[in-house]
Amino acid sequence: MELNVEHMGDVTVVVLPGESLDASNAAEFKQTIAPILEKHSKVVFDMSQLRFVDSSGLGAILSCLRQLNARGGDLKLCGMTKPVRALFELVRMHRIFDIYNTRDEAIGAFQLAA
Amino acid sequence: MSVRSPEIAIPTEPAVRTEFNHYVIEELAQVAAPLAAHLGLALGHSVGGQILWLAPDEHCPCVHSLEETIPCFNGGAPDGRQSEIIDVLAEGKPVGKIILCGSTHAASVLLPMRRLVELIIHQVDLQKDQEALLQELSASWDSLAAVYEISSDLRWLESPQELLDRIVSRATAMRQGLRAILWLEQGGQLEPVAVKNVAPPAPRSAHVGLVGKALKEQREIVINGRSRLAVAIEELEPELRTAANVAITPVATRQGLLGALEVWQENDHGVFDSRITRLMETLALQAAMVIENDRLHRALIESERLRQQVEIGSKIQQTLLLGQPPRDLRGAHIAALTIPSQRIDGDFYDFITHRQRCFDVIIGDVMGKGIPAALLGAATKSHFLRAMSQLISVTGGAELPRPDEIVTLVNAEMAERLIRLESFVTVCYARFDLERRRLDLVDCGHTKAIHFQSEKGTTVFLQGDNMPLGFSKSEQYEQLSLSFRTGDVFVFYSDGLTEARNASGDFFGEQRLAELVRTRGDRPPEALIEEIRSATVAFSGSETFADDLTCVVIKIGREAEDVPLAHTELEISSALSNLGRARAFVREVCQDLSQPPLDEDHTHQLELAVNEAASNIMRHAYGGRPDQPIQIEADVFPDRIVIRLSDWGVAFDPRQVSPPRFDGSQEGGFGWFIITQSFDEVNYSRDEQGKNCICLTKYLNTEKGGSDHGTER
Repeated sequence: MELNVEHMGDVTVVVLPGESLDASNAAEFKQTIAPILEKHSKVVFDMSQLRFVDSSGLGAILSCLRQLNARGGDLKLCGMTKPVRALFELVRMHRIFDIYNTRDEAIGAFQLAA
Repeated sequence: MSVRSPEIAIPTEPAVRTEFNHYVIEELAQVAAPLAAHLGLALGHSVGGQILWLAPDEHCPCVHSLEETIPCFNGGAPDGRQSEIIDVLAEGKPVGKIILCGSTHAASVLLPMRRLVELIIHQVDLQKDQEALLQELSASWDSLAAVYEISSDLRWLESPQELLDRIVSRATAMRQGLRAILWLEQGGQLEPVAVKNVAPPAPRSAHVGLVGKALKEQREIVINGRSRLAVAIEELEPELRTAANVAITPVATRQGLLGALEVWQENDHGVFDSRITRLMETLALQAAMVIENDRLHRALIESERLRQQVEIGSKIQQTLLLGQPPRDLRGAHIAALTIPSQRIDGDFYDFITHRQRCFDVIIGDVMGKGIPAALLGAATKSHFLRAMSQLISVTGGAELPRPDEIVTLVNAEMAERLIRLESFVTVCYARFDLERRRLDLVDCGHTKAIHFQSEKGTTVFLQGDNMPLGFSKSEQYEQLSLSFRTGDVFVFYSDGLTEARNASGDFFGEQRLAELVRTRGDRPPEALIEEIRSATVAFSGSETFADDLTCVVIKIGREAEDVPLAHTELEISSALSNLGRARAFVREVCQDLSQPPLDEDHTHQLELAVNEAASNIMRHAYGGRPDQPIQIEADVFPDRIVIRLSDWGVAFDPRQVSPPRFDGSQEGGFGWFIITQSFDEVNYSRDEQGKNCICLTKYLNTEKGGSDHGTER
C-alpha cells in the first residue's frame, strides 16, 4: 500500500488510497500509516477516493485519531463520499471526528486553531 | 367346486384352464399391472413359451419371443435386477406363470407385490368356480334369475347366514305352502342352519330318517303322497308327520357332504316333479358354495395369511394410497394425518402440483374393506393421474384440464368395473389456484370439506351434489368455484374421523369438527391437525379407531409477495479479499434484480451490512482461516429482499454481543450493530449439521430500522 502524503506547512495531508478500506486491508493501512503518525501531529485524511469503508476500516481510522490524540496531535477528515459518510453517521462517528467537505477547509481548521 | 350331477359338472379340459388363465390375466391387467408400473416393476405372464408384459419397462418390452431369451427369467437376472416368478395353478395343475421383476431399489416392494399377485390369483380361483357354475346353469335352468340374485351376493361373502336364509326362502317360493329346512352335518349330528315356515327343530342324528337316507345314499329323495310317506316317517322326523309330499337334496362339495336341503308341503298342491327337484339341486349347490366359502374365509382369517394381508394392505396404503403433501408451494401450507385401523380401508389422498402456485388435492374413500378396497383406491388414484395426462395431451399442454373434466373422464373409465364389483368411490377433487385465489371443487358424495374463512372467523361446509364414482358411466360431473383469502383454512377428511364414536355411541360429527376448525383455524396446519387428532382421541377415549382416519389441512399463506421475483446465490471462500465480491453480489441484487432498483443509499447500506456479516464469519466463525466456504443467497420479492449467509464455522450467539460505544473509545464492535440497523429483520440459526445461517430481510418502501438515519453533521 502506497500512501500519497503532502505537507502543507505543518499540516500533513494523507490521501487514503484505493476505493475501499475494509477488513481485507485495514491492518495493512494501520501498518503503513504508523510512521507518519509518529512524525506528524496535524494530520488530514483526504478520503475522496474511498467509495467504501467498513467497520474495520473505520476502526483503523479511529485508531489513528486515538494515537494522535494521545500525543497531543489531531486528525481531521475531508472529502468524504456519501456512502462513507453514511457509515460514520450510522455509528455516530461524525460526532467524534472533525469532518470537512474539502481539504482546504480541513487545513484551514488546523491553522485557525493555531 | 365339486358337482355330483353329471349334466352340470365343470369340465376340466385344457380349454377351461386357458380360460381360467384369461381371467387371471384380465384381473392382473386391471389391478396388479397399474400398481406394478407405479412401483417401477415389470409384470408379465408367460404363454406358450412367450412372455407378454402387462406392465413393461425398459428392460422388459411388450413381448419377448422366448422364455430363454428373457432377462430375469429362470433366475438369470442381469445386474441390478431381481425377479419373482409365480406359478398359476388351476386345480393343482400349473397353467401359467406370472413374472415380476425390477431393479434392486424396487426389491422392497417385490415381495409384497408377489403376495398381492398370489392373492389375486386365489380370488379369481374362487370366483371362477362360481362363474363357471352359473354358465352351466344358464343353459338349462329356468330359474336363472333366482340363481343370479343369490350368486351376486356370493361374490362378497358378507353374511353367510343371510345368504343361507335367502336360499331357503327361495326354496319355499317354488310354489305355495312349502316349508324348508337346511341341515348342516357336523360330526354325525344334523343342525338346522336355516328354516322357512317352520320352527327350527332340535339337532338330531345324521343317520336316521329320510334325511339320513339321502345323506347315506348321497342322492335326492322325493316322496309324493302321504300314504307312501307315512311308512317312512319315524318319530325322529316330527316335521314330516303331517307332510303330503317331501323332497330332500344332499348339499355337497367335491370334498364331501355338508348337509341336506329338505322341502315339504302339508296340503297336496301337486306332486314334486323334476322342475322342483332340479331347482332344489341348484339351491343345494348354492348352499354348498356359501358354506364352503365361509369355511375357506374363516380358515383364511385364522391363518398367517391374514397377517400378510394386513401387511400388504398397509404397504399398499403407505406406498400407493397416501400421497406426500408438497412442501415447496408458495402461498399455501399443507399437513396430512393418517391413523390406520386394524382393518384395511380404501381411504386415499394425493396431491398434484402443477406450478408453485397451483395444485390439486384428491381425497377419496372406496366402499368396502380389505385388500380389494385398498386396490380399488390405488387404481382410482392412478386413474386420476392417467386422466390428467390424457387430457393434457389432448390440449397439447396449453392449459390444465378442469377438475370436472378429469372426474368425468375417470368415472367414465372406471364406472363399469365399479358397477361390476358392486362398489363405488366417493371423491373430493379440489384445485387451488393461489394466483387467482380460487378453489374449484368437484365433490362426489364425499364428506363435506370445511372452509374456515379467516376474515369473518366462520366455517362453511363445501358440498356438491355429484354422484360417487361408479354409479353411472355417463355421469357429467360439475364443479363449484369459490374464492379464498390469506389465512383461510380448508379441511378435507374421511368419514373415519367424523364417525369416530364415544362410549355412548355418539359420532364425533362434522359440527364438532367445524367448531374445532373455527376456534383453532389460526394455528399452523400441523398444529391444527394435531388438535383434531387429540380431540378425536379424547372424544372416543381410544388411540385406535374402527376405520382409517385421514385428514388433510390446507392453509392459505401470504399473498403473492411470497413468490420471489428472483433468486441468486454466490459461494466464496473465507479469505478477507473476497469481501469485495460479497458487496458486488449485493449491489447486483439491489440494482439489477430488484424491481424497481433500490436507491443508491439503501443499496450501499445493504452492501455494508452484508460486508459486516461476511467479515464476521471470516474473522470469527472461521477464526481467520481463508479457505472455508461461505454461501450467500438472495431472494428478491416484490415487497422485500432476503439475503442469507451460511457458514460451517463456530456458533455465534447474538445475545453475547455487547452494544457498541459511540464515544470513540473503542475501535471495534460496530459490525453487528450495523447489520441490525441496516436490515428490518435479522435472524441467526444453526442447524444440526452445524450450519450457521444469518437471514437478513429488508422491506422495500418502508422507512423502518436503520434506513432512516439522519443527515445531521
